[in-house]
Order: sequence, then C-alpha cells, then structure tokens
Amino acid sequence: MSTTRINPSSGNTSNKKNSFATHAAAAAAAAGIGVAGAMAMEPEKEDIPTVDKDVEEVKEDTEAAPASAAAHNQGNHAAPAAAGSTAAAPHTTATDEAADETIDELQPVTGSEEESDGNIDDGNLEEIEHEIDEELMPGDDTVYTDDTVFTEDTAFTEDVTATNDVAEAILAADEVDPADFDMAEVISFDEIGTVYTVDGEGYTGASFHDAAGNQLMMVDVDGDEVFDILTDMDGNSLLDENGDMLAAGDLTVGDAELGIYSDPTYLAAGDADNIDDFGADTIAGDMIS
Amino acid sequence: MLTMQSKIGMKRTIISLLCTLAAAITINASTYVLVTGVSNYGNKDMNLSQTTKDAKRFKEVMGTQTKNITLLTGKNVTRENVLKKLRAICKRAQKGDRVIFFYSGHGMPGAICGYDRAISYNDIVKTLDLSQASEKICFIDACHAGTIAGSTTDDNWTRSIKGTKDQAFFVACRPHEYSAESTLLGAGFFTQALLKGLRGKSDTDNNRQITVMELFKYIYADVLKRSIEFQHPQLIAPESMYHKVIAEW
Repeated sequence: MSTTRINPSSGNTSNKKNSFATHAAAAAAAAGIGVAGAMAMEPEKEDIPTVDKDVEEVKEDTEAAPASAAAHNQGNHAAPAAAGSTAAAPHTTATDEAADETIDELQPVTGSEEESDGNIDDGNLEEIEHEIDEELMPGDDTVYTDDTVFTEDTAFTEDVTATNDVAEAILAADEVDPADFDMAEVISFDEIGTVYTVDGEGYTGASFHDAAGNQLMMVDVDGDEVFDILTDMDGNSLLDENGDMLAAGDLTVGDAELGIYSDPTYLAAGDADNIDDFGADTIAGDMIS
Repeated sequence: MLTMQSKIGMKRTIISLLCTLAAAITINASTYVLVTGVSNYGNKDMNLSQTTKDAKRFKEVMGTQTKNITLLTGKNVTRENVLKKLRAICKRAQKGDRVIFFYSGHGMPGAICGYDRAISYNDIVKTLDLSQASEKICFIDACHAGTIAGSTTDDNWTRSIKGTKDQAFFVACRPHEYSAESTLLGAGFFTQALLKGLRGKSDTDNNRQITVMELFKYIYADVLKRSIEFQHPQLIAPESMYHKVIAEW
C-alpha cells in the first residue's frame, strides 16, 4: 500500500471506505499489555516499623528509579505491540470482617528500614504544594509545617479562624513522591488525519515517533477507529520476520487524539466511539445497584 | 379568596423560585477530588509502570472541573494519609457538593494496596459515608476491584450505597479479574478509557455533559475491546446515580 503523508488539517474523522482487513491487531494486543493490579501482602505484624510519634510522616531521601531507561528499553519501534508489561498475581482474600481487620494490619511492603532509622533528609524531596505559609487541616488535628514534616496531636485552637481560602488551598495540596515511576511514553503521537493510497482511497492515520525518534504511522484500514497496521512515513507496511504486517497494538483513534491533544479539552465523540459491541445482558451483569 | 387563575399563577411562581434555587445550589456546588497512584512499591516484582502517570493525568482532566484536587503518589499513598485526606475532603464537602476518589495501583480482594498497607474498601465506604456531600464517586483501577461490592459489610453496603443512594463506584474489573496496563498505551486500560470518556468521547448526545451512565458505557466498551474481553469494568451504584453529571465542558 502506498500512502501520502498525513494532512494535519484533515481532522479526526475516519473515512470508512475500504475493508482489506488486517486483524493481526488482536493478537498483538495481548502481547502489549500487562496486569496492573494484584499483589500479595502477607501479614507479619512483628515487622511493622516503629515510627517516631512526633514525626508521623517523613519524606525520606530515596534513590530515583531508572524509570525512563526502562521505558526506553521497551520502545522498539519495529515491534511496539510487544512492549513490556508488568504482572503480579493475587493471593489474598478478605471477605469478612475478620479478614478485613487482617488487611488493616498488613505490613508495609517496603521502606521500613528507611522509616525506622529516623533520618529526615528532604534534599531530594519534590513536594509540590501551593504556597501556604501555614497549613492547617481543620478537624484533622494536624499541623503542616513548611518543612513538610507533619505532626499529629497538635492542637490548632489558636488558628481555628483559618479562612475558607486556606482550607481550599490545603485540600488542593499535592504530595508527589519523586521516587515514584513517571514513565516516559513509549510512543508519542504527532498528528492524526487522513492518508490516501495511490488509488485515492482514504484511511485514518496517525503519525507518531518512538523514544528513539523514529517516525512511523498507524493506519486504520477497516474504519473501526482501531489502528490496524504500522507503516513508515512513505506508507510502506512494516513486516515482522515472517513477512506479516506488524499490528498497531489495538491503539484507537481516540487514544491518538488523547495523546495529541494532551491539554485536557473536550474531545467530541466519533462515529465509532459509542458502538456497543457487547450484548445488553453482558453490561447489565456488570452494573450492580 | 384566590381565583383558580391566581392560584395557578402563584404555583408557577413558586415552582419558578424553586427551580432558580435549585440552579443556584447546583452552580455553587463544589467538587472535591482525591487522586492517588502508586507505581513504585519498592519491589521490582511488584512495581507497576503506568499507575502514577494515570493519577497525574486524571488530576489534569479533573482540573478542568474543579480546583479542589489533592494528588498523592508513591510513598505518600499510605493507608493513614489516604484515609486522612479522604476524611478531610469528606468533612469539607457539604450538601450539594461532590466528592471524587481515584486510585490506580495494585489491588487485592477487598482492598486497594497503599504504599505501606492495604486500604480496605470497607474503610473507604465508611469514610465516604461520613460526608454530607450529595454525590460520592470512586474510580478504582486495580485488580479485583469488583470485590468492593462483596467486601463491605452488609451494614455499610446497605446504608451507604443502597440506603443513601449517593455513592457510585467505577471499578476496573470483576472480582476475579485483573486490571491491565500497557506501556505502549502509556496507561491502564481502565484509566485510559476513563480519561477519554471524561473528556467527551462518552458524550453520546453531544450536550457536553458526561453522565455516570454515558461514562460507564464508554469505559465498558473500550476496555472490553482492548482487553479482548478479559477485563470487565463494573459500575456499582444505585440507579438514581445513573444520570448524574460527572463532568461538564
């Protein structure tokens, strides 16, 4: 297939004119995903760290994890659908009150050594907070100091008259852990529009670049707003070692729009955005009232 | 003695005043949001890659709806801190207001996994129950999130969700299912669908108002399609919440 470059002004509407379907995308989707949820937390009460009562919450100096490196390692443009994933399995069940209490007592996953040594080093701390000289948490018996060392059991009787503005600001405060992963995008969408074959047939395509800067394109060939194949910028399909066309990992036109228009603005629904492929019985079973 | 016409006129005036009052209450209603996400659990076998980013992106979108947003990530997502912050916004929110809680990270049956300890759904429901807010909406992107319906005690479930009819839980998957994330996508399946839906993709009637039902239908379809139906989001809410507006553009 030969295509021209994406026309940036051609909008996001797909042209549903053709259907030389390539459905390898479904298989690729399974390769590109990971399981985000489950982990086992074993109750070992004796390991619960002792925290200085005067210092309830301390931001320790922590080594930043090599998040970007991990992301880049998974940015192989020739096979983006096979990008890495994370998986963990569930092992614990808590279905009654007794179990629920057990959950409350579960031990920390990590960081106990850091907390127990009592060192307060906020050198690496990147506490993103609004400028509040003195933060009060009405009704919460907590005083927040400028050093972001939070103490409990401190009365705030002198400042009960804190204004609503201050309270609003407190409620809008952020506590961001700089050591937490903030992965770089494996791919970044640049433009979305219509691409044309030499025969004049139009398809929705999105150009993107990977972490290495390679410019590629995803094309929706069957008009279902799910990208099906990958091409280079000249429109040549990318093939795997078996000669099959590489799939686009089930990314959708909506995903591309979300990436391109990253400022949170209104994104109008497309023709295929609200087509229910599932039966009414299926969704009804997942609505619990 | 009032004539029939004047009675009707008075009735209309009263109705008009009530409508105006209701509109004024709606306009003054505030939304309080607590956004939490953990990706680095300090264990390479447990670490996730997209969950904190999910939280930050959710905050960005909610920033178009309210300024009252608290974001906690990583080590700050301790059980105590989350419940403390949730209590704070629950206390702050008054009748007519809305409280929103978002979590992206590991989950287990009956609980989400804070950085230090599990936070049971029972505790979350109990905390929300303390609030006078008229709407309390939770988005949970974690494995086994569907267990929330079964893990809260009957008392909490009846009083908070069926009784007061003001809580709605959008959860990423059924009780026995996992919630997936993708490095290629750069997000969790559920959160990606949630963000697209909130930003308008779920707005089937194009009125720029995203209702609970519109959003859930969109999330459901998007996640099912992407996961090839191994992940089924659930909506746990009384029917009276279905047409509540979550976001306006």
